[in-house]
Amino acid sequence: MSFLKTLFRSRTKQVNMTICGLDKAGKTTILNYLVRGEYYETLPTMGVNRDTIDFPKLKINIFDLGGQEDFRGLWNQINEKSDALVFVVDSSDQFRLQESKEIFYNIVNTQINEGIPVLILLNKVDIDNRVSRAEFLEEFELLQNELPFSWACYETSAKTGSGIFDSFSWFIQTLKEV
Amino acid sequence: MVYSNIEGGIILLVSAFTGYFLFISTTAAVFSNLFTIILFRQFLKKRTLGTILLTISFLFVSIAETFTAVGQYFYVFIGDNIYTGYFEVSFIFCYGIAYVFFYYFSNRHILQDKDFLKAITTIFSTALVSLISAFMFSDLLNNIVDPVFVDTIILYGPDVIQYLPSQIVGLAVYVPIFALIHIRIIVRLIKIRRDLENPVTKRGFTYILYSVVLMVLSTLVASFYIIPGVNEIPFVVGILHTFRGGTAIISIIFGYFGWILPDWLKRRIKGKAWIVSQMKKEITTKIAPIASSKTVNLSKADSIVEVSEQ
Repeated sequence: MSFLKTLFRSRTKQVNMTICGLDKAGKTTILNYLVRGEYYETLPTMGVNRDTIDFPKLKINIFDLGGQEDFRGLWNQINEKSDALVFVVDSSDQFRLQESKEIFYNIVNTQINEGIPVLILLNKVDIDNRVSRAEFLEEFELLQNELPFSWACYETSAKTGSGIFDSFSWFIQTLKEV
Repeated sequence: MVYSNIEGGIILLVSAFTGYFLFISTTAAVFSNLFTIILFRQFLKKRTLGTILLTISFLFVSIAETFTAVGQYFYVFIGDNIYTGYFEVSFIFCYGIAYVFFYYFSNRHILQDKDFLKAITTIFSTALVSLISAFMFSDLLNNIVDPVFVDTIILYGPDVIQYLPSQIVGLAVYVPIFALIHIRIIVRLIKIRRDLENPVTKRGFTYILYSVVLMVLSTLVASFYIIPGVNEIPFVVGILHTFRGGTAIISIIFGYFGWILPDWLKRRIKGKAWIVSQMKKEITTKIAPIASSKTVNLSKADSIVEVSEQ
């Protein structure tokens, strides 16, 4: 019986991934870049955008969650079923860094399952007047706090594509191993 | 019909042409029923009004195709009888009702007619189809020698009888229905397609357009038998029947895939995601340099700000 189960079991692993972050952080632009490999102007996400990416032996269902306050109530339901989290921070918006941090810790402490990989993207690095890496790390207290999950932080630009491949390469590798 | 008596048993002999004719009709019936079931399963999953309207439309098409096939089987295996006529004449009624449901379904995404226009179109189409069908049934029921509404045509080659609406009746039913429903849908679809940028949605609407065009073609081809002399050329009869069955089947398939757009089809249309191609190293995208001084000339390894130890 177990042989039959093994025989007919899908060999493709299915993973749900959520992309969260404040509004205008660039979540949809990152998703578009992952799919199309190009920068596209986007409209604010009203609710949730859903897309699927098929890797060899890995299928990722991506939920790009609208960042506006009205839609943050939806996050909990989707995040609790998620197997991976991508958190996007707008590096050019220094004034909302604190708000972004609060939301990040709210998600990782109360919404996501234990042990799932988390990818933090410091996005919009193509903009000159932006928060530095050191400032970001200090503000987010990523090095001070011992976070109970594997995470990585990358600098990205969904406009130029910088860092997108490297960050998701790490993420997908981690997902395959989990 | 030809019967042969071999060693006491009676074997019904059906010519290859008749067999082929029946095969096409059966295939059309099987396909339409199959896609109706698949669509109904989609409805059970989605529970949307649009899907149930399309399912009902498909259901009437499948009833029409099944009745036509059954009518032809009756004629071939039992002989000419009133039931052949009843089954074949049901075709016009069932297709008419299918078109009305299809019109309602199209109104959700394509036409968006006002309630008044919807009511007029529905009432007019249903009344027209019902009345004409009733007159056709009446001709058959009363066994009228020279019927006004029904044309009985023997198709040479397959030697199958075909009960069709007479020329004027066929025009009276289909011209207004096509003008009110199908032509408007086709024109609107062409306009919608032109403005679309999303390749998936565009492909979906293209399939729908093909489906509607083929739906019209399928009905038009069926009416070609009415043209004097056409039924007497076996080759033409074979071609017409194949074309009609084929267009009906392909129309259903395009309709289903265009409206439902299953996930695997969406992914196929979109092609491989950029990140997948990158990871397979099939393509390399030139990433523009970062303008900031801190990130210029960063190596891949350096671009990682920090990775946890876990």
